Amino acid sequence: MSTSNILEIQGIDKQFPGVKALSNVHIDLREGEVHAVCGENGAGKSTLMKIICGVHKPDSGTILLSGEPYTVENPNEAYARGIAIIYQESSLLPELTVLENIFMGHEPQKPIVPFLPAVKMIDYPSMRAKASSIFERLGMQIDLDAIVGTLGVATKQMIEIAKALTFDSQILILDEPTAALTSREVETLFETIRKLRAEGQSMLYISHRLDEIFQIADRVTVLRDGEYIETAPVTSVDKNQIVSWMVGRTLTNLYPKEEVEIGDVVLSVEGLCQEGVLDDIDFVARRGEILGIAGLAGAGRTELALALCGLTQPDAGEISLNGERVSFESYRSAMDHGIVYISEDRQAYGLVLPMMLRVNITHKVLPSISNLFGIIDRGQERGITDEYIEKLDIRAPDGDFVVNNLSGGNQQKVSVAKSLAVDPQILILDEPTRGVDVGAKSEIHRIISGLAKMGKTILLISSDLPEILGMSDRVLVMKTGTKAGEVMRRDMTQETILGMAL
Amino acid sequence: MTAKRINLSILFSHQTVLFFLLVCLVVLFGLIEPVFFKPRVLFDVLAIVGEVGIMALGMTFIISTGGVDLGVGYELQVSAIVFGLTYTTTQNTVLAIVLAMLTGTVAGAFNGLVISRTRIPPLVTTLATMYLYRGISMIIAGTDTFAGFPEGFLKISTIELFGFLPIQSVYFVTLFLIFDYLYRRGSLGRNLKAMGFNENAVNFSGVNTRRIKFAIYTLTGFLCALAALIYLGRISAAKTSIGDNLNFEVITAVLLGGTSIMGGVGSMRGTFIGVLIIGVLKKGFTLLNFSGNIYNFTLGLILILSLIVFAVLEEKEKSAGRVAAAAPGAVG
Repeated sequence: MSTSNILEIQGIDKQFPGVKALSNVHIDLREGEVHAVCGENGAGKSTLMKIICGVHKPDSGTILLSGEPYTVENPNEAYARGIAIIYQESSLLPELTVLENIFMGHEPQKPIVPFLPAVKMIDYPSMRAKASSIFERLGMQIDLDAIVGTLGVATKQMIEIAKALTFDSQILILDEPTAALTSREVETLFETIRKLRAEGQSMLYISHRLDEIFQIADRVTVLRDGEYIETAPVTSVDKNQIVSWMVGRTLTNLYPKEEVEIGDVVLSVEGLCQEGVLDDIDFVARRGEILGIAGLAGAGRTELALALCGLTQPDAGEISLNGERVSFESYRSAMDHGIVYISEDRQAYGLVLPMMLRVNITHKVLPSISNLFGIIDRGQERGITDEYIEKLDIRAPDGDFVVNNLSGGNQQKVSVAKSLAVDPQILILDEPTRGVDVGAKSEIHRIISGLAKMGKTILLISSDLPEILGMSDRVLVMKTGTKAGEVMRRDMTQETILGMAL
Repeated sequence: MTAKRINLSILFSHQTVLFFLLVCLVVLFGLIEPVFFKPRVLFDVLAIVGEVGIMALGMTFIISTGGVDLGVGYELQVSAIVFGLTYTTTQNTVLAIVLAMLTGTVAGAFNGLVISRTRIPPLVTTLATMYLYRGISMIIAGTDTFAGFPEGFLKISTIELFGFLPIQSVYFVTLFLIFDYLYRRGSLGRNLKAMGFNENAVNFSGVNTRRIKFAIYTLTGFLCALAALIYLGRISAAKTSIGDNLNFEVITAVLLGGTSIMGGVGSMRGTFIGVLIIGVLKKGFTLLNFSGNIYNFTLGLILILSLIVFAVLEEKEKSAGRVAAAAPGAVG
């Protein structure tokens, strides 16, 4: 392994509205190494990769590629400079063939009319030859004319890599490449990565699966909350060391958790199954309790929430409320039983952003504030709106204000208000503080604590471990659709939870 | 300036401008042909827009959700043909009315079923079914004309209240008042507009948006059948040439009235004025002996101009609103 740096990232800062995404991050990638970048959800890994590929522009900092200053406006320029990224989501066109996909946008061309060099057609023979040699390099047998949509996830992943190699890339970035792969497929992928490394290919490998990092990477860099923490050769660290780097922030009393007397079991779930997403989930939640639900992205936490409140239908299992067995054919019927769900994506599912506060806040209670003909009682509408603007301290001039013009934190409060208006018994909050600034975050935490104090049952889904630790009485940890374990407040540490989730 | 104020001022000014346009048209026609100022002619306008108006009420619901029904004219046509066929074969007016109403309603319900149960866009669905319904009436009637309906039936469109007010205008205005109220003050209207902006959010508020979609297309089919009966009461002959222009007139009236083709924003009052503008143009061009081609040309021109104006205003509003809106957090 040579020790010259092919890519040097120095002092990168990136600010999004309300959130400091990256601050003073630096990484150096040596020629021919596999360099893992890891961190929790929200640590800034993806933002950093997007900056390298020209999707985002850094606010400050420099990037040097082979010692030359590197700035790109868009991913195409990044490709041209020799940096190719393989995203989590497939960028392939399912209707086209393997061959067409890997050369999409830069097909080799040749003139077809003598003396008219400007008239060109795609040079299929040379495209085919180049493709064959790339797949040979990857050690892979594939029908170049197969339609991509008919192929498996793992094969598509390899095609993505082949596509990147058609650019003669100096650096290959793999963003969570194993997220959708089975363990056998992961092994094949690792074979390929090792093969490419042996040829001198430099790679950045983004993952939060620690086991993989030890299998495949030479060095690892840990990010946390947008900040650079540490870089080390994998041979000189162990898993615990990396975990503590990933989570090692000191817990301040940011979380205004109040001691609340925990009452009887309100919700009990047994053997909940849903094809492909949930597998035999059991748990109970009590009156006044905040039950944290932790797990990695894709662990099935949101799917569990949707199944609990009738937005999707489970295949098997029992849900009981206050000892009585229930099943919800619609979200409306779950709401009538006092269960509400506050979506993680307030823009897509939580709110109608271009409409007014009062329209949004009263949306879930419309049936109870309108008469037989569905005519809305304006007095009640105003009353409820004003009540929650005050209760949750939503910073808006009045109920006629358009939600789109509120800050993220205030929008989130509107989303919570909308569900509180139905006077629920059980609230399922899905990532309630994602994308809101620190101030609004602690306000939302205060609201959650207040609700628990009132005797509500809270299910708090969060990828933010300190939030889970700070707020929950008990934590349910999920992993790939199953329940990985349960931890009481007194036994909670970031390491135990992360250990179960990984 | 808040987006709320911009919103209101656009809608307000839109309706005011529209009303001004209506008055201008009346004055213009009146100056060329003074007979236009006679109350008689203005009531006539109300009479001839009855069908377009009634269908436009349902269409406003549909377009508010971001949908459209391209084939209302043929839903009217097939209902009229079924009425004609049933009456001429059985001489039973009640049966003919029932079957005609059923035909339009089922036609609308079929649209609603496809649109609410599949992901096929309304534009394509109703493009297909409009030819389906037209095909059905062509097969039934060919070039025949069904006529000779009884006096009693014709009364549904020929009565004049107090000796001057055409009964169709009473139907239209009454229905308009109900629809306007439901649209502005009802949870239905609110859900329709919210669906036009973000259907998922409406679903996640516990509203069955499928059912609403099914209901509004069915309702529109029902209104088309109602309009068919009123039309037959006025014209007294069912043939396959009726309804050709109505698809276009109804959609034009709604869009002209300020309901956004993208959904989310709409006004029943705007639709009302839009319908009247179409009526004035129709009556005016008839009085001036202009051909139908000039009428179609003018209507097309008005529609595209109003769409352009609307799109420009919306773009402006968006850029004004964006400044204050927080950008989505894109971390991790």
